[in-house]
Amino acid sequence: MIKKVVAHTMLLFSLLLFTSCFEILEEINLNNDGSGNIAVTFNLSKSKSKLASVMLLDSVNGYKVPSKEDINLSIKNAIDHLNKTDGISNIKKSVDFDNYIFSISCDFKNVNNVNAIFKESIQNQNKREKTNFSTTNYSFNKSNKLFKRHFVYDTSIKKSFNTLKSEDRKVFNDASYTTIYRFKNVIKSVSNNIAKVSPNKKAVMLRVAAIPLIFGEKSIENTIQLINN
Amino acid sequence: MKKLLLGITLCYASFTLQAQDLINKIPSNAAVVASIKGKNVMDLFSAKEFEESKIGKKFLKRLSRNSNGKITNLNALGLDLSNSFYYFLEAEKGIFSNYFLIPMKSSKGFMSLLSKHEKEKVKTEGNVSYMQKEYDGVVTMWDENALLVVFSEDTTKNDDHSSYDYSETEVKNTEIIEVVEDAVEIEETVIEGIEDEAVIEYTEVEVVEEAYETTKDVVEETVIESTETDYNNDYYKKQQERRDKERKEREAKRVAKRERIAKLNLEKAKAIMFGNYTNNNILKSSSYRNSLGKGNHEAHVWVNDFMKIYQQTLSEFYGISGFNPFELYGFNTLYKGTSVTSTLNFKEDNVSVNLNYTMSEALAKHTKAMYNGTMNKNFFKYFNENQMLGYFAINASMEGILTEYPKLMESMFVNAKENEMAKVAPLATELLSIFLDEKAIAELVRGDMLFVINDITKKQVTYTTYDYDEDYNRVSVEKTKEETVPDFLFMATSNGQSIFNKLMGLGKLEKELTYENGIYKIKTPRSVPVNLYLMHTNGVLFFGTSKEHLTAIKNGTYSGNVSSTHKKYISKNSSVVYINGKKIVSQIPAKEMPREFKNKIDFMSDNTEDLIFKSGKIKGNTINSTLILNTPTQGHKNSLAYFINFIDAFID
Repeated sequence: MIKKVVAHTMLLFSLLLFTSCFEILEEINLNNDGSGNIAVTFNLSKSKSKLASVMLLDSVNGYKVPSKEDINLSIKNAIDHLNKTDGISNIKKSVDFDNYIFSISCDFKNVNNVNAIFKESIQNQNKREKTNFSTTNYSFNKSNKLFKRHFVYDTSIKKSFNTLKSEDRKVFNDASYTTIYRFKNVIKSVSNNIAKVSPNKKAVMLRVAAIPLIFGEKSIENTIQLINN
Repeated sequence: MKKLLLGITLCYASFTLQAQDLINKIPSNAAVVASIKGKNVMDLFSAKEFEESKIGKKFLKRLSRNSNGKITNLNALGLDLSNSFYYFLEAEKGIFSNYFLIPMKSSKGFMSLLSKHEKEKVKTEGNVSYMQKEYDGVVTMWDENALLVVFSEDTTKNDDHSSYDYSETEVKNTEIIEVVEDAVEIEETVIEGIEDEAVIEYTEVEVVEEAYETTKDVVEETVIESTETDYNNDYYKKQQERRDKERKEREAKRVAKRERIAKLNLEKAKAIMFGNYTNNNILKSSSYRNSLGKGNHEAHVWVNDFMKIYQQTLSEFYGISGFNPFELYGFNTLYKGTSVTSTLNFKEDNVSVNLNYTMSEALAKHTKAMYNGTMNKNFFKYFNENQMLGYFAINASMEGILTEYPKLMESMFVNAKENEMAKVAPLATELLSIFLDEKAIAELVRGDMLFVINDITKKQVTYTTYDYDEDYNRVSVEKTKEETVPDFLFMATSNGQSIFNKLMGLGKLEKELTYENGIYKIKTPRSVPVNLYLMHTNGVLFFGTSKEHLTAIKNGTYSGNVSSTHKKYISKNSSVVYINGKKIVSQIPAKEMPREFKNKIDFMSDNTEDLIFKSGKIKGNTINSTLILNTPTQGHKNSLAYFINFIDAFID
């Protein structure tokens, strides 16, 4: 009982006063032969006070709160899935419940291997929800050195967001999605005008706030033309 | 002589007043009666004041639209706002009939709210007019003094819907026709009115869409049926015939049930409007009369013997299944005579909801023992009323709970002989009694506890984010931000210092606790923005967030400050929740809010007082609970006006 009273007290204040936000980071280091390494990081550190309170409860706002075991199991399932995917190796995970930062990385032989990771789940999603998400997230043409981050906006994202209660929507107010792609060759051009090219011209970073992304006002789609040495 | 004349006049006046009150129309067998005392409400906030408020203006605008401009003020609505409004429920053999009784001065206003289609359906018998919805049988009946709405629910038999059941076509058709007709009526009204209001349009669209969806379902069902007839073998034909037959039987049953309810609603409505309950109305019930008290409330709810309602609900079911919950769970003994009375009172500086829960002798005996606690007066030395944001106190007896709970379980199964559960449950409770040492547990936690939110403090917390070097390589960096965290203290009377020490010893061994100067610190993850401490001293178990506070208590240097009002609340009740609304609202960072929201926060800061919920100790067989919201007097002539002003402040 005391645990619940403390949890609810903390939560009451956290809902009133604590900020809540998260960032998702997608990083790819691409070699000239099309192989490389991808890392995806969920950083919820800025909301850790709120999450620590929420994790003391079984459910909040009608949603079941996953336990540490649930989260570990989900990560394990993701790793099992990666292990079964062709062309994927050197799988690493990082789980930090003190800061609520979770990360998975792996090497790939070809960006198509990365596409294959999500292909089945995207197909299922499209079939189930009648959405139109592309199963190709990345492509790389070795001959003309053209790397592409595909992203087709689907209005179902906005619809799903609108079904959330206004309190729950606030979680996305300060959230962001960042992609960083690093190459061996120099970048000649990028198609997305909010993308920034690094001073050494071998990396490109694109940071989009969650709300414009959800409403289709901004996109993470980017075509990067490398100089063919 | 003068006194005699005055007495006669008063008697006559009160008799006349009684005769006009619609309570005379409520039969003595009503299971639930709720009322709103129009006169008391109007004394607090007049119709004119309501009409001038923002919410009142919106309400009248809508009324005017719905009546084609015939109703522009509350008076034109024809309601007798100085009289009482009633709701009552009758429960009879599994049929629950709901009645709304509204006092009227004239039916003219109500008639102007009816659509052309509805007016065509109105029937008249003498001075009484009525109309009845075909699809749900709801009756609306009125004369020049009262308006009555009656609807019933038959809980006696379940409709056996099956997956092959496409037979609600007829019912749905009736429903569709009425819904569409209503929608068309509304649309006509809107077209006639020039001003459009988005909300109303939206509602109309919803109604039409609903009708469309229902139509679509029926069409789809018809299509499914016609597709099925493509199958041509004998087996299928027989199956289809059987399903058709069953479907028709079910449909016939449902139609019969619907007609029965419709007939019943009409009979009941006529009985109320034409009948004479002067000598046999609810005022004959002493329980109801006693619940009215001095009658200076604005709203009142009375629920008669719960057992009678349960019996009316469940009698049909246990009669069929042979399972009698009243016997198995000892309902008859435990819940007989259980009733609830509640009143709502708006005063000058507070609004309160009062609730009296009267229970059976048997249940009262168990409850008394469980809540026979004594609040530790030393708790008052350990917190400061001027700083606190709120508290939660429980005054129970752990020994009473541990000894009475098994007895309560036993009494629930005492009448059951054959049921498997009835054999196991008492055995389980007996085992529980053997294994639990009630006195030893009661020594560790006696049952009186107090949780105080002392303050909220600002604390620097760290979080991890990323910086990027020139080549956009990620570098983890630790940044800080300020968060406001609650400072709380939990206290429980405990004479089990040695048990506490042993438990703490185990915690230290497992490295979950550290110890310093008589205070234990709980190891918490970095993500928890507060430190948690435990201490056992002066017969009290402390659990809190402030080491300084606990140290001061331990050294006897803490100086508590609690007023006699709060001391009384905490000591005299079995549970209390207090929230210092003004102080909590003042902590919301209004400066950081958008301007339009800031104004609302400012209004809340200036107009929020404290809230208290207290549940008293059992007296006789009754527990009294009260929720009081204190309201500011400045700018609000009373608490009802405060609510209207509050709504007005939040209407854009």
